[in-house]
Amino acid sequence: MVFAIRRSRRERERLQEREISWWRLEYGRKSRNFDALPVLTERPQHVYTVPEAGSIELVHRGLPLDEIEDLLPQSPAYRQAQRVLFAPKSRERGRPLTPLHPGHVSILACAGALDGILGEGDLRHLARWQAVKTVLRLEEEDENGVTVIREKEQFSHCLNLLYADGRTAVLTNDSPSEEKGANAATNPVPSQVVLADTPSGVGRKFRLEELRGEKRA
Amino acid sequence: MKNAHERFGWLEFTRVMKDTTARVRVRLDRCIAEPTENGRDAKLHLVSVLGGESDVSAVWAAVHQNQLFKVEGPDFWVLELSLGEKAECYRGSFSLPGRRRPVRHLVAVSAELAATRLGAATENNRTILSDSGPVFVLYRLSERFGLPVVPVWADWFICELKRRKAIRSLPGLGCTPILVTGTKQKFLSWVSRGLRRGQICFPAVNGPIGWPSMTGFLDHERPQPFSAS
Repeated sequence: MVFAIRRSRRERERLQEREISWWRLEYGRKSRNFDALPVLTERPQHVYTVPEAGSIELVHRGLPLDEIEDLLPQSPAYRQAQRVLFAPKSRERGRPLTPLHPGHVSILACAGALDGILGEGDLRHLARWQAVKTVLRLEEEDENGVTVIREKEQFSHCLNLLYADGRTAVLTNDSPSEEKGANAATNPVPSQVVLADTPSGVGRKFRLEELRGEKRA
Repeated sequence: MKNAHERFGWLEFTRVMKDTTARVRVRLDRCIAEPTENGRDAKLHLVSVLGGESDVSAVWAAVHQNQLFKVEGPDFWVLELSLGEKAECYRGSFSLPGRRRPVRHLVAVSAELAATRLGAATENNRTILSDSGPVFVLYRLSERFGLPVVPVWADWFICELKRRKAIRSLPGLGCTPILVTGTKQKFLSWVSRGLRRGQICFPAVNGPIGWPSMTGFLDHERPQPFSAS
């Protein structure tokens, strides 16, 4: 067991390197020769009196976590992150005051406000519109050999359909490849979808990306 | 709620500059981590920390510098991990009665978790979700991939995820995060097959789809959701 005395700042500043070395050597010498150590007697050299202390009051100066935990659901940070972390409340629904024009219907449909179950018979389906963000990445190399990378964000809409008999279809506005266009044209598709997926590409609104007509397994 | 200190964890990091070393330690209320296959490395997907202005600003700077954080908490082993490149931060503050300065709050999410929002990165086949409630999982997947689904299929969909081993629970503090593996095409084919086989039924009435209110992991009084493992 080693007892030590803490030096004051002034003492530390006046302390020189050779003193530290000397004390270190002295400590090593005594550790090898225990007989050289002075023996502690029962009579103390110094007596220190411990002053009487008053009553202690414990004070918590940290964050009040209980209150904070209750306030967390209203935190602006969580409100900003709700599209990533939570399920925001569904949008308000209602009936328009006047009948909607076709333009209104298309805008509302693309915004997802008309998602739901529509149609009847074989064409009864569940429609779900989706906004899709695509990043177009262009790399250009100038005459100095410097490559410039440009990223262009594009937003488009996509309509996902699920028919009552299990068929699914995804309508996008991408330009179709030759193979996919040929495949889509050969599929037995409902009349509404055929109208939207004109093979010639003239006046095309949407491309039929996928149509599943799997038979019952 | 009482005894919040038993539920909160700590986030700590050390920043060594030219002539000083700063050690920042703040309270952590939510965290999502994802250990790798070897079990030694891991990546953070969400940290939500509270503290003073300087501490939270230091964490914000460290997130953008892709610095390693030491995370510890109840039922959460000590890990050193980072949020990765292009992490997103959301900052806020709220005042408490009796305190002169407001408490700062920072929510940082990894780029992969941020990509689970509506219509972003729809070609990815990994979706990290902060909660494991069946309706929440189906809602978030339908928002991301635009799946035409209804809330009553949530239990069936979770069973499908489990049966196909496409769901895995992740270590989390204050939440029950999961990792769902699958693409839009795959989920569409599952729903299609479920309808054909009669495992799920098409709703009888036409109309809009109404999703129930879901508060996620901030609802303290809800029952504990299922375990994905």
